[in-house]
Amino acid sequence: MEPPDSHKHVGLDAIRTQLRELGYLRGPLSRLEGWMVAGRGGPSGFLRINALASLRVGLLGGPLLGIPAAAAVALANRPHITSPRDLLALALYLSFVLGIALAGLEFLTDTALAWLGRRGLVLVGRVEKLAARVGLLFSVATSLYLAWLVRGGRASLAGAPGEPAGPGERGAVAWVLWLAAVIGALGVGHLIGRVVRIGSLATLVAAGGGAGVVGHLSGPQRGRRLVVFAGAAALTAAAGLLVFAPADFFHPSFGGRGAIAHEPVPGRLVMLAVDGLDAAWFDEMKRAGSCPRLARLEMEGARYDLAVDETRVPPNVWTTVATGRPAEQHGILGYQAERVPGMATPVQDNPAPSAPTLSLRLLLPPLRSEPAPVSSGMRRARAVWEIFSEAGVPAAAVNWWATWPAQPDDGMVVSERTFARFAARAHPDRDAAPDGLQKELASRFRSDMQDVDKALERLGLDGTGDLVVTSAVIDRYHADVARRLVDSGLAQAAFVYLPGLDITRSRASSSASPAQAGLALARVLRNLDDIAGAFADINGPEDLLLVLADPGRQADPARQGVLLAWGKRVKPGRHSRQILRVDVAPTLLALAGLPTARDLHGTPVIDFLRVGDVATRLVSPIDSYGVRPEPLPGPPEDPFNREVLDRLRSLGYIH
Amino acid sequence: MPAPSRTEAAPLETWLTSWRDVIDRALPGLLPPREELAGSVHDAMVYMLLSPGKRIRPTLTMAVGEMYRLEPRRLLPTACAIEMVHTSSLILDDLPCMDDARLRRGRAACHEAYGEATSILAAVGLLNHAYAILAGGMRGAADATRDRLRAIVARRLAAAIGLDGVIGGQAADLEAARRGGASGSDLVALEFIHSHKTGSLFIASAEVAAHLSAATPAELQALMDYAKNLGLAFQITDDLIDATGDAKTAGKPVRADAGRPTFVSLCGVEGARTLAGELVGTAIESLAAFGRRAERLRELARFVASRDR
Repeated sequence: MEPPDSHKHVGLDAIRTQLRELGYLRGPLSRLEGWMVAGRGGPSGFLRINALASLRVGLLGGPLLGIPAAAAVALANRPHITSPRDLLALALYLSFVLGIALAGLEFLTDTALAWLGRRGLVLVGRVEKLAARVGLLFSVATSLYLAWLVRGGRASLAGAPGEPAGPGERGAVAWVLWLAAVIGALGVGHLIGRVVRIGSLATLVAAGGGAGVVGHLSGPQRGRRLVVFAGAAALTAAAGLLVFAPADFFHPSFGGRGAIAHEPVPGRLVMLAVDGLDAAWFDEMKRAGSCPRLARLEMEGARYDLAVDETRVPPNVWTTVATGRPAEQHGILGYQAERVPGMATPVQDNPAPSAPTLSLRLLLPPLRSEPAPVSSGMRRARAVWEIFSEAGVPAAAVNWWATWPAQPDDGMVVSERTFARFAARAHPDRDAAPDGLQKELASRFRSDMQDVDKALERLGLDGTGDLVVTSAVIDRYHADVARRLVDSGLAQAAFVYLPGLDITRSRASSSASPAQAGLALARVLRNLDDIAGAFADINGPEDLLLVLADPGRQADPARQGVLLAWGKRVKPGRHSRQILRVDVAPTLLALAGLPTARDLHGTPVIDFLRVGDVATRLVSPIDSYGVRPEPLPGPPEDPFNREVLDRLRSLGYIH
Repeated sequence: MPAPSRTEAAPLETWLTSWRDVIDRALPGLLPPREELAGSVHDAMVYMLLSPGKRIRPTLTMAVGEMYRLEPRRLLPTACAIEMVHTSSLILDDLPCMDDARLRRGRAACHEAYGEATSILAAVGLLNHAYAILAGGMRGAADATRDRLRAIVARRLAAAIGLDGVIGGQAADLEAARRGGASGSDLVALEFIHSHKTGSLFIASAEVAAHLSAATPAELQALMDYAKNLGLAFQITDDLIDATGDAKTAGKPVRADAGRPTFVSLCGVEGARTLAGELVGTAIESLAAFGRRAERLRELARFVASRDR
């Protein structure tokens, strides 16, 4: 019999909801929940519960974030970090660091919410929503962070830098694996969000004066499917990576060094490597009459556009140019590297996953070594000047990235430290090779600088402490050294890196108005134009001058670079075909009459030569030029490292 | 003392009766000796304590111990102390200044039989004696463990009785009655009253047994969840009995809650019945980690929701 009553019945669902909020009608605790809220018994202050919950968030969240982050760092540091020991050490460090970060953030967030609660924000009855929002915040942040870490993986797997990623089987596999990795990242983020939510619940319930957190927990059912699904996706990604990744994905597998059947090609070959000059700006300056000599080279020679990928870090870019291989094969990723205890391989400051290495740098100062600039020992692939020299074509690399310490076996090298060391009047140390060259450069540095000053004065680029002048001096000094090596016959080929425009562009974009920046760039370009014009004097019947311009660090991502080829053997004209950075090394080999190698990623571009000359340059390729003999010694000790880093900092390369 | 049948095949009724008999036999022996000059209080204590109750709370305590295969003699004094606490709360609850009930467990309420003053003394006497039992209990444990367990059990029981427990719930109940019952937050108020008046002692019954059985924190939490849901299911069933039962079967006056907020008044008889079933289901789910060991506790939960008295 239904009793008479004066109350209006409330919907059963509404009552269920309210009862759940009051801690009823919930299943048993999941293992995770049980572990997260264990030890709350007895009289416990809010701070103790907050510290305990935050500690557990760190203990769980650290490895959850640290292991994928370590995998991402290892992938980004290919081919260096491949040993299980290094991977384990990296995972431990990052788990520790990220665990501390998560625990700290959790503690601060909950403390702030509790403080707000005491200032009038009602916690009672709202703790679940607040904790859910904190969990969601952490979940989204960590998911985005991991997705950001894996973002380069697809392109890296699908093809070499500069190469289109698909279509094709490799591209499709890369997409699937990348998608699985992203789902895995979402799953990890979700799990961390759950952990954080439970920790926040425990803390906020205590802060709100509640008796127990258990009633607020959801039990083992909710979210389990997503975690299982995401875990399966992550495992699929890992397994897929192992099964489907190209053979050279983890370890560059260069073939054995082949014999070079070299038909000598007479004539000199000079390549001016200009950083910071993109095709559109070059055309603009050309129309404005700011670079008449370069315009003449273009008009009388051949022009190609250089298609570039998103990689903008000069050591990485220009080592790709010099080796014909992507960074995961040549191994030069960033500006500096540092040793971490327990790891045989130094970790490079690759801008892509810089957050974990930045974490290491910020949070583990007692454990890390002093960073050192990347060095030639960390390059695994052979550069063109080494191959040239071995094949009997005397070649010089001047101011190229990651050429210090200069090794006698590397051919003729004026490393990127030479100028800085001489300018600082420091004692030379493996700055140039062979040794005689270093001695000669050291002895005449002062007179060389006087020549530089005169040349710049002629161009109206005098004054000290001016970044434009500094940039111009760097370009002019190295161009003069290269010119002298070629003129003296010591080098038949020379490859000169000219960073002045990139330095000025990088610094001017942040510190000057557009008009002032434009003026500064025009001045540095005037110097470059003068240098290029001077090299145009090398115009024997077989001589070739190349100007390779890369857009540099500050260029718009859509901008392309330029390759100009000039000489009596060159058919004038602008080519619609684009070349890639990895094409440059095979092209240089072909121009010298040397075979390209099948394991190089690029192809020779020599269709700018006259018909008969093409045939003489296309010889049968060999399998491989092999790896550099030096097995990754890491950053060498050098008291000058700190000065070099300071210099990189002052020039805007590192912060 | 012989433990009730532990065989899983034994029917629930048999099992419940066995434990009730064990408890009923133990209770008189735990009471203090009768002093002639204070005989009426002692008589009132015996009258109410030995009245034919269900002994759900001490049975819950013993059932948890049984699940952990704890010797019954180690837990029985604590279980009896809990029954004494519960009985004292019933005496107070029935007083004219409280619910003014005249019938309890099929007999005249304590104050009807012995007068208000004696009933109050009997209630305080039972409460007081419960703590005396706890202070002398915990047989079979080492000294340090015994002291620690005594402290835990006393603290949990005190919390279950105090402002966070039965007393707080009764105060809220009186306040609700004074205001005339219904309000915009009926459910919250109702849950507060029930969880404090009934739920807290259910939870304490399971919790102290878990502590004495050396349960892990996770197991302790699971048992508290079980008892929490069970306690509310028990109270909703009481509401249903009051709304739909008869006094003879119930052993107490029915329709006494008419006009007061109850789960029946909130969501109707069927709604209350559904909720009680769901709460029992949740209580049973909470025991998942114990596997078949907790079968008796599951049966006890089902029994609580299906009873008619």
